[in-house]
Amino acid sequence: MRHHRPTVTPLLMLRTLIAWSVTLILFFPLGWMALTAFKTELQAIAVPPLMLFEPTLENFAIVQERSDYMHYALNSLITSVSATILGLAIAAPAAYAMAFYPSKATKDVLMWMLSTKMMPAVGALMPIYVLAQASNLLDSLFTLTVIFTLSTLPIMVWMLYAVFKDIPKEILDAARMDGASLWQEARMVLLPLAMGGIASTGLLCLVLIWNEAFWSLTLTAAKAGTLAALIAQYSSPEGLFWAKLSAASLLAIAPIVVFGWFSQKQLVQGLTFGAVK
Amino acid sequence: MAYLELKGIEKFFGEHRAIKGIDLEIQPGEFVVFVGPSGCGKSTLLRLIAGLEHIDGGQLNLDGRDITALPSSKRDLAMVFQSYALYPHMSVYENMSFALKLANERKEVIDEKVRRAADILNLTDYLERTPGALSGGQRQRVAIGRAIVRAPKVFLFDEPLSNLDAALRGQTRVEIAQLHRDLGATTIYVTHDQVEAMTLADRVVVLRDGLIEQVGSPLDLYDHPANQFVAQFIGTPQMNVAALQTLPSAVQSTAPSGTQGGSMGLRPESVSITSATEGIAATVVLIEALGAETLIYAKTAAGAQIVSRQAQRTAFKVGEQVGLQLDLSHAHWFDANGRTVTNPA
Amino acid sequence: MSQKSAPRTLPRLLQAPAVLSLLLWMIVPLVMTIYFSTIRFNLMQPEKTGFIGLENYEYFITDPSFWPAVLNTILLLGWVIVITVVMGLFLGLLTDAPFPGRGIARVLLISPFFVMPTVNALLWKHMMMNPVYGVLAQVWLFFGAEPINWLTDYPLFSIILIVSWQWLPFAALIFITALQSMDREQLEAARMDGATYLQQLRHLYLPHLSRPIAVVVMIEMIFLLSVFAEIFTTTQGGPSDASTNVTFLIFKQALLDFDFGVASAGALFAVIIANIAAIFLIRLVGKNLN
Repeated sequence: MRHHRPTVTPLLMLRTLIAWSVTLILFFPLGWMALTAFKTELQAIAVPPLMLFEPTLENFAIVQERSDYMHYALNSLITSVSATILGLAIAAPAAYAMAFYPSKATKDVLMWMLSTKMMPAVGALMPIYVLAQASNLLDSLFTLTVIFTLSTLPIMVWMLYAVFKDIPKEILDAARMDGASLWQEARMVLLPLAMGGIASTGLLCLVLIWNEAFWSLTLTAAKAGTLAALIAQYSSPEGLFWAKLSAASLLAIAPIVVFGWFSQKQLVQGLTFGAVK
Repeated sequence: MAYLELKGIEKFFGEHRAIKGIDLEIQPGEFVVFVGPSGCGKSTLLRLIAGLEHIDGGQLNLDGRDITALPSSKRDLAMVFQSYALYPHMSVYENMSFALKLANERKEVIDEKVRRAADILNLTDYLERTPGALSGGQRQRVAIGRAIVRAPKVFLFDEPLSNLDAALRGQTRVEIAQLHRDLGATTIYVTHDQVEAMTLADRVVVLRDGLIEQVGSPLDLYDHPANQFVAQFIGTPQMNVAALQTLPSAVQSTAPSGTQGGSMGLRPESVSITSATEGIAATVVLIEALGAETLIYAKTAAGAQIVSRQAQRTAFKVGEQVGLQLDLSHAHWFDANGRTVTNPA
Repeated sequence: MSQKSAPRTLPRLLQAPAVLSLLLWMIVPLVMTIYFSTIRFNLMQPEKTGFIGLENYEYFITDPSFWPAVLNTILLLGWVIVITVVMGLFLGLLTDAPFPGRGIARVLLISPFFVMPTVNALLWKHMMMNPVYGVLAQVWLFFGAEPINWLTDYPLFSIILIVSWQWLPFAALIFITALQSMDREQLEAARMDGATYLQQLRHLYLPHLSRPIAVVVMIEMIFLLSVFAEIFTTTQGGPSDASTNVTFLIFKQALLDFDFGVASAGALFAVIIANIAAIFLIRLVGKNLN
């Protein structure tokens, strides 16, 4: 995008005003929560709401000390990272095959994968619950990881497919002519070129899995609960510890929101399955 | 025994038979050009030889070895791609040394070979740059350098000049010809440009629809085309070809036997434009004054479009009535199927 | 006469893990759900088993909460889609042309989408919608009006609000991306032809955006059918079933009433609805694939 200084006109000023007003209004809840995380509980429930105050880090300290918060956070981390890595390991070869060795069935396979993502999770709830219970894997990180991997697999295949398709096939042909075996071709030529796209895909899927709430809320209890489940527990009126809630929430979402900013492009391509470029 | 032998090579894309049985023998050190219109299969044939596409039928032999089923990485062939296909994340040096590195050559040997090739191609100053920082012409030379370094059995070129601008194209064509003279390597070169074919080739292979129309030296194809297709493909401007019935009876009577329902061809240099009183009546439609030669396009009363080529400038103007003089001693006669009956001696 | 081209074993092998695991993931639960839906299966009464055909479906549909849940689902879907698409278009068009700080504004605008749904729900439930301390209450008081008890008095609408806030960035981002690919020369030509902004909107922008709008609607239809976390965290479907959607109804029957048989029947119902929407999306996407 060419960056040029737009000439300052009344129209521009009006647009800027409206755009920023709307932006701030829409962002307000998030921003307010971020602010509240730095208040004391008293300040948090002050009426009328406090805008200026002396920030404190005590909420974050308290949240960190709560052993179950760290436990849940660790669960979120383990399941998200494992599912993402596992998913990439399964999806990458498939996407590679479909991008560079397409067959007549390739388009159908991609469409079919798309359709598996369409199935509402609730359709699998009962069987998974029964299976998990039977194999004593309810409330287990393993179960969650497997489910997360399978749920995100279609998106991963699609996004990696798009990434690989962007690499000119001739470069891989050249590597082959230069004597590279399949493994050498993948490692020394394909991977360096696709790394950016693979990272963004991984990042986006990490975000989606981290935020996953359906299975976390239905299949887990104290052992394997993720942050989604923990935060949900705050919904009971255990006293209105708003500042702490805000701090806990902020910790839970901040890195993910940042990751999300970096994976914008993949988000559009991934969640629309390439329908919007 | 020929260095590279193609025996009955076939290729299918689904139901479509793209390559319909190609037989060809290429001698060591030869510069062979595959030429033909788009879709004729020349690039496909090259890729079959390279191993980038699977050969569905027939046999491919290189230096006595059957390489039909061998993967590209083991055929000891080097290819220069139309889009150069350089590794964007590697420097020029790394691009050129990649194959040798994969072959586990010693570092000193690699270094010597790369520098020598870079020297030949004037790339020594650019060895540390990445392809993104090079011009089109430089990138092309790196692509060639990548091939030279490997000293392969055969060089394969896939339309290497088509992405260059006109001036660079002419210059690079000369450099490629020179490189071949210096290295003496067996080369297969694919192009749609028959000027490149005529100037670079020891032998030209004209392809159409997956079949070989004719194989021969450039001048051989020019003087003795085997059929109308080759006659009109080689030589620019195109050979003038007119159906027999449209010719004046005086000309028709000179046709050799076997040409019923066929046509006659005359190269532009065998047609001269004179005043309207002599020769066949025609009107000037277009004049292209190229400096060293002049092309005059004229249309006869019967509606045939003729091109005439002459070395001198012309005084004629567009719209003028002129006469066409045909040098029938240089006529090519084709039968009803387009096959050549006789060529001028 | 066609022959097989390059050896196909390698590509097939590479695709196998993904294809096989997704195949299992799709078939096994589906078959089991179908099976469960035809038997008596209640975790609270394990001794009662046996094939009962379509009885579960009957129970599910005749459940007093069924039609309210269907209605709520439709309302939820409809309102969220309308709000996100309209606001999303507005935001997209607003931020299409450059203005100072546009980069930062865009980053702020897309943030809500990456917030965990449970955090999102609690954020609104406590900080915004609480009738005493919530920000909305303060704003209402500021204008001299009586604060609204959102989640109690307008449960479904509150959920709609919460979900819309989360999905608006998605729609906006799609439209922003789509607008970037608009043919600038076409706009310039229109401007030279004297077209006003509204005319440009009608004849150039909206046709170009028709496909992204369709995509957004389809995608949201599929994902919003499964809205769950927000309901679970705020209203638990209540009061009574005022904010229960089909997904939550099934969840209630499965993990609160423990009637897996009926819940399975309901689940299949949801799956069929989702598939209908999916067919349209697939056709749309399939046209784009090359």
